[in-house]
Amino acid sequence: MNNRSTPGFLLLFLVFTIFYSCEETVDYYLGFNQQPELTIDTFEEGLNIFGLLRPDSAGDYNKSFVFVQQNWPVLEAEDFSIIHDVIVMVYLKENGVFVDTFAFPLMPSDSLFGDTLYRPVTEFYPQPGQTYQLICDHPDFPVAEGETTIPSKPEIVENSLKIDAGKLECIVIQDTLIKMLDIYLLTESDGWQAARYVPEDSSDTHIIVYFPDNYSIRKVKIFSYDNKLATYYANSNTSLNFNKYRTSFSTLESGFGVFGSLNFTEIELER
Amino acid sequence: MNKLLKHITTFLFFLLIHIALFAQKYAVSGYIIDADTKETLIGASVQLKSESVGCVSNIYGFFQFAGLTSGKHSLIFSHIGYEPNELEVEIINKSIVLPDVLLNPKILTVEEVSIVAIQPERAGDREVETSMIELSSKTIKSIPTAGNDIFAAIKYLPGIDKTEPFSPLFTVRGGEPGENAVFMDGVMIYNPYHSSITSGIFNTQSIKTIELLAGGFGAEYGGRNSSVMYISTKDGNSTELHGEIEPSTFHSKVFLEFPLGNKGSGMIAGRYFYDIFTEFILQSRSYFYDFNLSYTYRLNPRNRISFKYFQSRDRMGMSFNTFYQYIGNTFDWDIYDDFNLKLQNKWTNRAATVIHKWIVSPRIYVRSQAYYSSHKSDNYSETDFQFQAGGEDSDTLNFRLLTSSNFNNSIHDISFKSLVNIRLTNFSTFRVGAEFNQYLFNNSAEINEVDQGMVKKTPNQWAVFAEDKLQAGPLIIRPGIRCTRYDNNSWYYEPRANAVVLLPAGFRLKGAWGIYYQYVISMNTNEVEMNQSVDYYFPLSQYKPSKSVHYVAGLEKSLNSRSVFSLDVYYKDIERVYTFDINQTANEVLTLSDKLQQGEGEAYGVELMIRGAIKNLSGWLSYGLSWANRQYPKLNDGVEYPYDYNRRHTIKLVANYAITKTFEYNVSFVYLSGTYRSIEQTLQNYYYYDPQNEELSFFPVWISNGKNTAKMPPIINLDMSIRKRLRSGFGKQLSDVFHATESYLTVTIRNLTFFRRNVEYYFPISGIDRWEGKYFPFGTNYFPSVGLSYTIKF
Repeated sequence: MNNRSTPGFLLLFLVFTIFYSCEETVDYYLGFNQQPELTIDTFEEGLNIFGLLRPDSAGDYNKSFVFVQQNWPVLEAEDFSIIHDVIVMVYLKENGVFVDTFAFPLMPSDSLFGDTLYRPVTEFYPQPGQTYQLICDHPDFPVAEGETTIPSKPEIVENSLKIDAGKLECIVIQDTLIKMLDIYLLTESDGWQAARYVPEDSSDTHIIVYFPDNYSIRKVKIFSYDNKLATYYANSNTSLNFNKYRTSFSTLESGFGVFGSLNFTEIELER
Repeated sequence: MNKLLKHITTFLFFLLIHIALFAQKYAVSGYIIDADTKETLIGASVQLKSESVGCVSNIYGFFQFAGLTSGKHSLIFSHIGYEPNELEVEIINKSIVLPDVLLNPKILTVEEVSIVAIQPERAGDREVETSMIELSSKTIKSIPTAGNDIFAAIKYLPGIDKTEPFSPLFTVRGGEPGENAVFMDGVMIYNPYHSSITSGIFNTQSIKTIELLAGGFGAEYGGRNSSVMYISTKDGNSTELHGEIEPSTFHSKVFLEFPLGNKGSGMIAGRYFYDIFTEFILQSRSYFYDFNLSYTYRLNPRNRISFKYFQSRDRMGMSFNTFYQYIGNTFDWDIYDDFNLKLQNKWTNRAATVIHKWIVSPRIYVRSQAYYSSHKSDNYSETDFQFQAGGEDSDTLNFRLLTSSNFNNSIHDISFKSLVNIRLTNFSTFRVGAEFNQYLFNNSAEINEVDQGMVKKTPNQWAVFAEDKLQAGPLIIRPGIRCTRYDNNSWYYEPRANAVVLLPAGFRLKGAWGIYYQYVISMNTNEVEMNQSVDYYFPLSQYKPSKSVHYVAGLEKSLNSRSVFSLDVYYKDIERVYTFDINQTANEVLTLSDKLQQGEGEAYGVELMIRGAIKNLSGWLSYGLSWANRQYPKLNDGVEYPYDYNRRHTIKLVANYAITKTFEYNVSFVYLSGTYRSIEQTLQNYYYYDPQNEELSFFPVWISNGKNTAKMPPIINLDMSIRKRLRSGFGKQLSDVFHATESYLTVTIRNLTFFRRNVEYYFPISGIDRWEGKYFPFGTNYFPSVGLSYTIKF
């Protein structure tokens, strides 16, 4: 090949490479297999639940609910909407025995609740210290079961609440049923989560929250979570990291997801 | 304690034997230095003219030649790149210390210029090292993609590989990234990396030599289980002012060395990098700088004191909220309700040291040092975006991703150490040393807004070591022992042994064995952070130290005076290793320190290498074959799995072709087998619940369940550069303005194999017909790039 033909050959090579590179490259490219060589199948089938009990109600409806979805094979995930035809039952448990039963039928969205969820239709007021068992049954999946104990209402040490320019402090009394605290600050028009705490087992929780000086805080809401919900939030493994070791998460006895509960305290601040 | 005393007593006994048997022989010692710059020369050879006996200067440029009788002797001093110097010395019934021996640099022909220095012996205290590789500034500069960076350059060596695509951390022979010690003039440097361009913090202009001990290293070094990188910096030219200035498209550098008085010399080196892209596009300021200061004072021929200071700072920040708004305003692209991705890294390194080198007598050399070294990092990442996935469909929740991580880590290290080198006979070099370190560790983390707690510890460490290099004919052995006591716990004993046999026909047979303990580990956060770029040091105060046992054997053959073939076989028994299981733990172990898990593993392999020079061509070609595994009781259901960064086959080529003395061409090529990754096979949605607004949203989480269940495709990279000394034109005229002696232009073309489209990650996509049942492969480097740099030397 002489010097005159070399540039032409290079140009042809470049053109060929550029056009060839536009083809599908997912399977093989230039002879190299582009798909991963998987050694084992690790897919886990089952229902994926988010179930929450809370003691407050809104008119005729209780704010407790269960959302039911499923685990998907990662290359076949299609539909993330709520699964219909699941039989959702919640039982009040005392000394290991079911003493009351609550059905949670599928309730469509309405003016009060924007999402279609499984909700109780009878009077349902879970109280701190009570233990509830959830059973979700669908013909296409293994039964999902979980248990939660309603946490106590957070109690603040008397006279510990202080609010200053841009800073709020208080002390929440230790309680063995409370495993996580979320602090929400509310103005006239807005509300946001300001802090999250994991209380110590044997001491009160000293809360310090900062906010912009020019905000006028009207209300403080402190949410308490039970052991299951706290674990679910604390170990949340959401991430944009790809191809990392990340195991499925569950606080249920069978199935995936969480069945937990919360309580809360609301404090109006003096104007 | 009794065991320690027993070991010390044994060595003292051998020492006394030497003294008694060879009291009538004498020693000659001194420094060998460059006649122009007065820098000490490492690995310079000293030979008795009449016989084939000799020695080699150590890493401080000091030689000790023992076993001489009274009378006159002709000694020949030589070093590659220098004219030999013959001196006649007269010994009159006592050993002597020579004044500094000067070697004049010689002008090398094109054929003699090589990026790989092959010496029959290495530095005197390194000649029995089994897995040692030396790098010079010239070698690093000759690798196109190294960008004058040590840590980019060493990844072209066998047994050394990168970890994550955007991380500067590296792994050596299947070891953890946190198991590599990096010393600069004897100071332990923690996290010697920059975040902005994943490079090291060392300015190659200030470096004299770099030695990497990839395994089986001797008792002098401890506290790390995998490798030791020892960097020696220049003391400075004590004759006249010299320097180098290099502005480039990547960063700007300056280097100055100069005399200070009659007995002193100094050096200043600095770099500054400024990221234009993040400033204008992402509205975030990202930069780094590093600088070295050095002052060496020669009190008298037997005493030298050096003061060295180093500092680096990194600030890297980007917020995609601003970028998204820019795209939305410019292209009217508004698919998200709200989107924010924030990354922020703040790192600071500091090191200060004073070093005293003392020729006590011709047979005894003492090096003492005190230093302070610290590293502080604060790494934050946050992603928050949401949109309505189902539109008006109330069966489908809103889509939301809210994830954040914040890791804070600082380590402060105040240390004192002293080393005594005793050359009593010509066949024995005895070394003994002691070290004390006081540490302060601070670790805290917050993951997804949950405080993982803080760990603050102030452990200390005592270490003593002794080793004796013995030579008998063609056999050199170096038994040694290191004894360490960490945080007032028990003493741990680390016996080591190295051996070299010089065989006929230019063959060398090598072997090493050693037990290694490590008391500080690095937390692995790459499963939580977007990109783990630093080691988060964590002290093992309440735990047994991690432990490895090295077995190394090797064979070397000199192909000619300038080339060597080597074969290394290694096995590492990783008896105790730790990892942090940050992702999945029970509620009871939410705090950071409780997430530590103990496991075990092994690593073994073979490395072949040809390095050296043939006429105008120099460099190396290597092939590595390796395996590495790990097993933890609570990870992967206790089943053994392939180590994250193990690559079965590696082929690495670095070549420099000196077309003329002023025009050289460099090329680097790598073929790396794919690493193992945990490829997701399950999709499980994670739900967020806002209890105040009673809103439920979700984010799909890709689950792997099995650790390292798939092998990635191989990586192929080819880069090249051309470097030309300027003789005319604007560049030459500009350098004349600065009275520079030389100016160079370097053009670098990276990623010539861009059409290969190296796969670094897999993204599971569903619902798209053309990719049904397939993972979408994507990489980090799809386009070639061209870089220009201009250098002036004076």
